[in-house]
Amino acid sequence: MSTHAPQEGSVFLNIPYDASYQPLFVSLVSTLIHLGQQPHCVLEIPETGQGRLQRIAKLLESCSLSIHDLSRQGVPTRMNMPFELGLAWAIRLRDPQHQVVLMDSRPHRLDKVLSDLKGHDALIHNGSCDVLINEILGITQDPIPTIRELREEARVLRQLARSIADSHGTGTIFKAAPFRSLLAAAVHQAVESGHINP
Amino acid sequence: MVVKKPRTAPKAIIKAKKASAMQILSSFGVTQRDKRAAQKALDSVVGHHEAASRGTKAALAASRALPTKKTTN
Repeated sequence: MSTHAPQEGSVFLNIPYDASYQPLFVSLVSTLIHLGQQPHCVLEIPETGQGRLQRIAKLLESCSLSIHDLSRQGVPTRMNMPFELGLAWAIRLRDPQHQVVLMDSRPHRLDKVLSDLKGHDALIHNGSCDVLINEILGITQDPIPTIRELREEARVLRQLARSIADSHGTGTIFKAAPFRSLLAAAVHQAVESGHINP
Repeated sequence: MVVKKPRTAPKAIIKAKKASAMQILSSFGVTQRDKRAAQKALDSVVGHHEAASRGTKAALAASRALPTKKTTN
């Protein structure tokens, strides 16, 4: 892997891209943007086949924090998320400035299925958007918005996400174009609410 | 006696900041077209959004026992 200076405030999201996770993903994006962060994920990387892994690694390296939600366990086995967590951990071993945050929907489960990282407590969201926002706020220094504001902004963005997916004709936010629109909408909201500057 | 293992849960690792919209958007390569699509989606639910914002502000004002902004006609 080549060396890229991580950008402060850039957050790599390693999450399951399925319909039932969309509300949690939108809530996560909303919360991070209202906190002045820049969420990134593989949706930004075009599916050209060659060199995709290299670009995922570069994107990970360019972020100072990565959040890995390993809540999708079972059959069929999802390998991408643990694989990207491994990449992130390799970056952290080389550059301790890179922070890694684990998330799951159930407490203590990761201790059993990922014993290599035993002792690294995960944020537990219980599959709830509000709990997830609470957990993110719990690891945030000097947050400007309150938990109630963040929850309300995320709720509105979840509604917007459905409109955005419809307007793109994709039915999902997990495509490059609707994802960019979602980011633009979240930034617009954060400016309107005064949490970030225009 | 149960000894609690030392917790290595992440502490305050996200430093909240008042970033600028341009700073955030430029890092994603968001285009004018993306902004327009987002604006269209916003417009479609803008009434609801405004109502929700008003509701949130009123609730926050009440919870903090702060006076709401006075308007004079």
